Amino acid sequence: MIMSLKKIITICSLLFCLLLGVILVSLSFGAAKVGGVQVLRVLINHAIYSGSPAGPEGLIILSVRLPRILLAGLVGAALAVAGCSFQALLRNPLADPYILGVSSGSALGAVSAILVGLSATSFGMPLASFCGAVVTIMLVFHVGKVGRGLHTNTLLLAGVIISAFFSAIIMFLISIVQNEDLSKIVFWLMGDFSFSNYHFILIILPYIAGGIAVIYSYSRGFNLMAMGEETAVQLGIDVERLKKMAYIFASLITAAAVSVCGLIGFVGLIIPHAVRMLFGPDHRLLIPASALMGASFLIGSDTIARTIAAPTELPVGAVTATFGAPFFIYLLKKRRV
Amino acid sequence: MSNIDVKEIFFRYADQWVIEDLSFQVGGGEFWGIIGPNGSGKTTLLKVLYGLFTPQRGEVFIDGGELRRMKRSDIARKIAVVPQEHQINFPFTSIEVVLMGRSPYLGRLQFERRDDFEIAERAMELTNTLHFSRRPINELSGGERQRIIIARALAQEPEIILFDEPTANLDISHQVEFYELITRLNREKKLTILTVSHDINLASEYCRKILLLKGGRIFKMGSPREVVAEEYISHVYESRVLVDENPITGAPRITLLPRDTSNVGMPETEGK
Repeated sequence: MIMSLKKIITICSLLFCLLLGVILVSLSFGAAKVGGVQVLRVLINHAIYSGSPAGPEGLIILSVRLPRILLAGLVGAALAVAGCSFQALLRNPLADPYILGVSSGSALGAVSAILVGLSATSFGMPLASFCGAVVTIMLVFHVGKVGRGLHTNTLLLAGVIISAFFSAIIMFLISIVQNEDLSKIVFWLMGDFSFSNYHFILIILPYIAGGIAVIYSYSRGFNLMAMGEETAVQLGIDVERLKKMAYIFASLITAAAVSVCGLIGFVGLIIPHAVRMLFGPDHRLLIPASALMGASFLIGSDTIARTIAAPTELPVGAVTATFGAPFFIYLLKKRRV
Repeated sequence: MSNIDVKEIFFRYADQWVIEDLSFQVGGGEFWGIIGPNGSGKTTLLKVLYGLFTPQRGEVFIDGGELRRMKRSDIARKIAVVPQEHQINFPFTSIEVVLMGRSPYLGRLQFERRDDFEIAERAMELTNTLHFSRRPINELSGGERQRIIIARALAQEPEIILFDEPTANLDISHQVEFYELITRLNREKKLTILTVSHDINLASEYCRKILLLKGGRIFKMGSPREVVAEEYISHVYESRVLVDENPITGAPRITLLPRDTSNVGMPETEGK
C-alpha cells in the first residue's frame, strides 16, 4: 500500500463518520432512553439557538452525556496516539502508554490527593495526578539519559524500576486507607469518567491536540525509527531529537489523559495494533487513524460501562480490559506481533 | 563522484581506543574493501565514516567538508549505508522500505512525489526486486531482504555506499551475485564503494584497494596483490594461511590451513 495524502484523508473521513455515529448512539443510551431523532433535535436546537437546553432530555444529553462522551473521546485519542509513539520509540509493538511509568506516577499523585482530602475539590485529583506524572516523566528521562542521548533500553528499565517503586508506595498508602477512600482509589485505578465536565475538556484539549500535532509532525521519522535507530540515522533523521520529542510529548498527552479519568488500560495497546492490521504500519496514517479509532473505542466502552449494569456503573477500565485482553490473545495467536 | 579524506582519527567508546590514528584517502569512484580480524575496528570505522560516531580526535572530510558539521539529511544524500543486520519488526512492504531512501530529500510533512516513485522503482529494477515490491519485508528471505536494503540505498541517490559485511548471511551464489551487482554500480554509476568484509577471497577478487586493520590501526593498505600476502594475513589473523592465485582471474587467493598439519598430506609432499 502506498501512502498518499488522498488515502489518508479518505480513510480518516470514514473513521470520523464512524466516530460521529458512535457519539450519536452513545448519546441516546443511558438510564433514561432518548431516541436517536430526539438526540439530533436537541443537538440541532442547541447549535442554532445556543440557549439553555430545553426539557429534561436536553439537560441529560447536553450537560451529562455529551461532556462525558467528548472527554472519553479525547482520552481515547490521546492514549492511542501515545501507544503508537511508544511502540515506535521502543521499536516494540507490545509497548503501551504506561510502559515508562507515567501511570504509576499519576496514580501516586491521585492516591495522595484522595488521602489528604483533595478529592473533595474537582481539580485536586487531576492536578495532583498530573504533577505526579510530570515528576515521573522527568525522573525516567534523567535516568534513561546516557551522555547526551536517550538510550531506549535504559529508558525502559528506568520506567520499570520507578514504576515498581511508586507502586510499592501506593500499596503502602492503600493499606492504611479508610474504607470510603478505598473505593475511590479502586475506581481511579481502573479508570472512571463519572466526574466528567466541560472544564476538564477545555483544560486537557490544548495539551492533547498540541501533543498529537507535534507527534504527527514526526510521523515519517517514526517509520524510519521502526527500521532501527542506526538505519534512521543513515537515512538522515536526527534520531536523538526524535526520541526526546516522542518521549516527552507521548508522556505528556498520557499524563493529561490519565489525570482526568484514571488509568484506562488496553486502549493504547490494541488500537495501534488493530489499525496496523487494517491499514498497514505507515505512521502518517497510523497516528490519525489510531486517534479516531481510539476515540470511538473508548466512547463505546464507556457507554457499556455506564449502561450494562445500570444503575450501578462499572469502571471503564474493566470494560476495555474485557474486550482488550481476548483481542490481544487473538493477535498473539494469529501472528507474530 | 565523492571522495573521503580521513585525517588522523581516534575513536573510543570507553577507555580503550578502538580506532587509533587512522588516515587514508578514498578517491571518487574507487572500490575499497576493509578487512581485519574481529575487534579490529572495521565496523566502528564504518560508523565513524557516516557520522554515527564522531571521532574524539581527527576529522573525516567528505568532498572537503567536515563530516561533523554536516546535517544528517545532507550526509544521507551523499552516503548510503547497507548495514549488516536488518531485522525489521513492522510489516512494511518492500516498496515502502525502498521509498524510505527518499526521506533525506523530503520535508517533514511532505509525501513522496512521482519522481520519488520512479527513482525507487529504478532502484528495484537494478537490484532485481521489483517483482516482490508489494510483499512485506519481514516475510522475505535473507538474500531478498538484502537486495531491498541495497535498493533503498540506491534510492538515496548517494555518491558513496558503505557496506557492513554484506555477504555474511548469503550462500555462495548470492555472494557472487552481490559482488557482481556492486561492481556494476561502481563502474556504471561511478559510486564510491567501501565494504567491510570477512571474506578475504571475495574482497581480493572484487575490490580495487584493500585496507587491512589490526587493533584499530592500519596494518597495510594498497592493491589486493600488495595486501593479501601470506606474511601479512597470517600475522594479522594469527592463523596459518596459504596464498596463491586464483587460476582463472589471477587475484590473490587464500587457503586456510589447520594449525597442525604434520599428519595431513601436505601439497608439496604429495607430488614426491
